[in-house]
Amino acid sequence: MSCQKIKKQLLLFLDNELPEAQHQEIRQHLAGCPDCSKHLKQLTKIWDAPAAIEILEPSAHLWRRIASKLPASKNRWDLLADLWQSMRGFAVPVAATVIILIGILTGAYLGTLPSDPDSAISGQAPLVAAKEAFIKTSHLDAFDDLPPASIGGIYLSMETNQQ
Amino acid sequence: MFFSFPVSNEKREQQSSYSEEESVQDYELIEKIKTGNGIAFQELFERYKKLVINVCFRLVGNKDEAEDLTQDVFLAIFRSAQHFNHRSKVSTWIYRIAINLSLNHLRRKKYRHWFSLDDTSTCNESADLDLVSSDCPEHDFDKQEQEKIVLKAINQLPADQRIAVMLQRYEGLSCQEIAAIAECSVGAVQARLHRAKKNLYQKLLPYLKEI
Ligand SMILES: [Zn+2]
Repeated sequence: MSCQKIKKQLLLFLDNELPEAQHQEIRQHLAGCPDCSKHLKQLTKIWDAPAAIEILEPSAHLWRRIASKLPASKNRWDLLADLWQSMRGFAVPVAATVIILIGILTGAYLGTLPSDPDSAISGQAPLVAAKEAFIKTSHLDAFDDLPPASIGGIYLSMETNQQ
Repeated sequence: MFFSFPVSNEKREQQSSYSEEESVQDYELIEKIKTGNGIAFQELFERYKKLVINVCFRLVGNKDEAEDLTQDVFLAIFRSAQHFNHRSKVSTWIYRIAINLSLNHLRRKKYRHWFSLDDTSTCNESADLDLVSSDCPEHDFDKQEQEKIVLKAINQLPADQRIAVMLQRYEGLSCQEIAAIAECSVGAVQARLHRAKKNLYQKLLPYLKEI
């Protein structure tokens, strides 16, 4: 092979894309031809620059652009349903957190209410009245005797008999 | 997958991370997308957005156009998921859509140039290459400049050769994988690569003296 023909095949030689016999022939030629081996060195330098080309990143809003162009029927309820599907794993922890938060806030609010009706200031009178009404209508008097047939009554009679 | 060609480190990571398991996941995503599942579609987008935008970018040579094309590619994926059969890999199918839309875009651009009155350029079907900063061989070379020269030379090749070289050089794909994307025989891909590299040698020749 002439030098000219060798040089034209050097890119294929570099990428190992020649049949074995041809590859060996070029290898032997290069060993004895300073001009062709210099040419190979130059070519290697430019061809083997390892793809130092920049890698592009799509812009942050590209997905939103695409999603806005999806067919409407698949864009609303289905996406919402899909979102719910993907959030199912979080549902229990989120619900538990919400319940605990409601508990804490309710507790904090109730803690600010007067516990003793007698110490109620005038502004809270309706609340005191409501408490009294509740106690009356539900017959909850702490000093009432226990009804004799109730579990409490039986327990009390057993206690007094033992004494 | 087999890598005997120069590929950037980042590409290498991306390629080698595509396991069998991920291929199965890809198929599952496509099945969900067929039912209109938007979350599955978003996951596929996250998985392939970088691959798509970079393939488009290397073919059209302009960032804004590559981003618009990426949008078109994913909308085409969503619309045509129904027709996806499991005979090819999902990545092969996505490469094909990205390449076809990029080539169509370049063709349309060529005709727009053809009919515009102020056309003085020698526009061909290849990219504008505004990513190549200098045409001048007497330029101070560094690695990136060299790669830009190579990319410019690749973009001047006929479309079939250009696609084969791009997929081999920048995506690290084998002849078999390129053949699957181009829907041709492995022999045809090898022939294209041979012609392409002989052409590229001629195009790179003026720059070799400067190195
Ligand atoms: Zn020689």
